[in-house]
Amino acid sequence: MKKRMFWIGIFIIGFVLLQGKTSESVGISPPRIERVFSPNFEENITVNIINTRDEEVNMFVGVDGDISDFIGVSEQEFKLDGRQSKPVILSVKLPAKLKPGIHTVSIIARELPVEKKSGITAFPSIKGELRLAVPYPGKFVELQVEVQNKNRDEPIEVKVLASNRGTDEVGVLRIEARVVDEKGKFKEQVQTTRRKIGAEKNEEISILLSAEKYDVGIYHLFVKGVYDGIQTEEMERVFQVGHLFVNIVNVTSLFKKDKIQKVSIEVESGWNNRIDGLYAEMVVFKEGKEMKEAVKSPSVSIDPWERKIISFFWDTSGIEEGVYEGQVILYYDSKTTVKKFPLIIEEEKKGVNGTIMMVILICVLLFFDMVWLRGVKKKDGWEKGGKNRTEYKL
Amino acid sequence: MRQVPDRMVTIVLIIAIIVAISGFVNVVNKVGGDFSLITGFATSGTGIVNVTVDATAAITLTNSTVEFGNGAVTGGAVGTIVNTSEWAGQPSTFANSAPITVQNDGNVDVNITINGTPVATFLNSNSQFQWAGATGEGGCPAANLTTTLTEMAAAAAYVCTNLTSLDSADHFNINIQVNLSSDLLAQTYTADVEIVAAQV
Repeated sequence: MKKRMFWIGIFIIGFVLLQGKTSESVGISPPRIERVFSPNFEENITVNIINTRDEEVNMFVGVDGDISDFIGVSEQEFKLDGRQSKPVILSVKLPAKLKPGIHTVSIIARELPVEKKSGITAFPSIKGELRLAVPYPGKFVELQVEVQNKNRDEPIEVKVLASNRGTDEVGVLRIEARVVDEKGKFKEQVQTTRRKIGAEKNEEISILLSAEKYDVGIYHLFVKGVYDGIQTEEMERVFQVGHLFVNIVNVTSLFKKDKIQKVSIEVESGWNNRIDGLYAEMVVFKEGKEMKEAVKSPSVSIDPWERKIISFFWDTSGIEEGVYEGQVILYYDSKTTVKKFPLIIEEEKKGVNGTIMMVILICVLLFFDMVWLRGVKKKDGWEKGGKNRTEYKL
Repeated sequence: MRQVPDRMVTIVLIIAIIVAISGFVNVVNKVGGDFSLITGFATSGTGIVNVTVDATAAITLTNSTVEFGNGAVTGGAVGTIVNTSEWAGQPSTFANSAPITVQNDGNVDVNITINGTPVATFLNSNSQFQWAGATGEGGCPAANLTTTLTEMAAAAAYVCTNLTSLDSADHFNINIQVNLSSDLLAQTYTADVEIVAAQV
C-alpha cells in the first residue's frame, strides 16, 4: 500500500509539472482552390481537415468572404481523432452574375478549446482559400511578381506572371521594373519588349537586373504592366543582397555567482547560402586580464538569412561579483565576428524554487503515508493480539 | 531395427515427383498457362507508380500556454512587466514562461497572423498586453518577422510572412509581454490568442 501511495504522489507531481507545456495543431488540404466563374456554376469541393496531434480534438469549419452566402459546409463542428483527417464538402452554388475580378472565400478550420485553461492560451487556425475568377468584359491584366534574395555579384532575376483576366486579347503588353534602395535612392529601371496575351491566358516574363549595381543591402522592386493605354496595379517586392557575414544580435550578459549557467548567443546570417561549422567562443576580461579560460560552443550550421540561438554552458565559480568585459567571437568559413559587451556577475537571490517545493511535497506525502501505515498496523495488532480478541473454532 | 524395403522407397519417391510436377503445372496454369513463362517474370517491360502529393497547410503550436504564475504588482505608473523573453527574469514571484512556438507542419510556406483578447478585456485599460515575433529556430526570414512589441488586438496582425515548411527551419517564437498596472485587482486573469496560418 505504501508503494502504491508513493507512486500516486509522484504521478500527481509529474502531472502538475507537465501541464505547463501544451500543444495544439490544425491543417487543411488543399489550402488553395481556384475556379473560373460561369453562370449558375455548381460544384461539391472536398477539403480535408487534418489533426496532426496524437489526441482527439474538437474542430470548427466555416467560410467567410463576399460570396460565402453561395457556399455551404457539410459539417461545421466535429470531433477528430489523433493523426486523422476528415473530408468536408463545400457545396458551391453560384448565381447567374457576379462582379468581375477575383473573389476570395476563406475556409477557416479552427481547433476548439476542450476546457478553459488559466494564463494566456493560444489556439491555432488555418485559413484555406477558394479563389473564384470572374472574367472582366474587355481587357484586364494582373501581375504576379517573384524575386529571390541573392549574394553580391550573383545574377538577379525577376519573374513576372501576367494574367489576362479579360474576355478580349491584349495586343501590346510592356512590363516596367524599377529598383530603389532602402533610403529610396534610384538604382535601376528595366523595360521588357512588347507582347500579346490571349483572353484568359497567362504569360511568364523574365527580367534580369544588373548584378554589379547592387551592393549588400535591402532593395525595393516596383513592377507594373502597361497595355493599350491602361496601367496595371504597381506591385512591390523586397529582396536582399547578402555577403558572408554572421552578426551577433544578442548575448546573455547576466550571470549568477558560483554556478554553471547557460549562455545564449543570438546570431543572424547575412549570407544567402548555408554556413556549416559555425561556433562561438566567449572570453571574460577584467582590466584587460583574462579571468578564465575561453569557453567554446559546439559547431552548428546556419541557413541563409537565418537567425538562431547558439547555446553552451559556462561555470562562473572563482569569479567575484561585479561588471566584467565580455567578448564573443564567432568563427565561420575562415571569418570571424567579434562582439564586446558588459558582463555582470551577481549573487544569487535565495528563494524557494520548484525543485525544493517538489522535494518538500514528496516528504509530506511520505510522512502521511507512514503515519497512515502505522495506524493500519496498530489496528491490525490490536485486533489480532488484543484482550478483546475473539477466537472462533469450527 | 526394421528395414524399409527398396520398393517402398521407390514408390514414395515416384509419388513425391508426381506431386511436385502437378503442383508446378498447377501454378504455371494459374499464372498464365504458358509454359514458356517463368513465374514472377514481368509480362510488361515497364512498371509505373504514380503518386501525387497534395498541398497541405498545417501548423502546430508546440507551446501554446503562457503561464506567469502569481506575484505582486509594484506601485506607480510604470507597472510590473512580465514577459517570455529569454533575456530577462521576472519581477516579484512571477514565473518564467516559454514563448508561444509556431511550427509549420505542412508542405507549403504560410503567412502567420495573430489576434487575441484586447487588454481592456483581459486586464484593464491601464495595463498592456503585447506580442513580438522572435527567431526561435529561424523558420521566419528576419526581414519578414515583426519583432517590435505590438499591442494585442481583436483584429489580426501579421507576425511572420513566408514561414518555411522545410523541417530544418520550420518554426519561430512569439514572445508575450504583459505590463500589469498597479491598480489591478487581486485575481487570476486569462486571455485567448488565435494564431492563424494561410498559404503564401
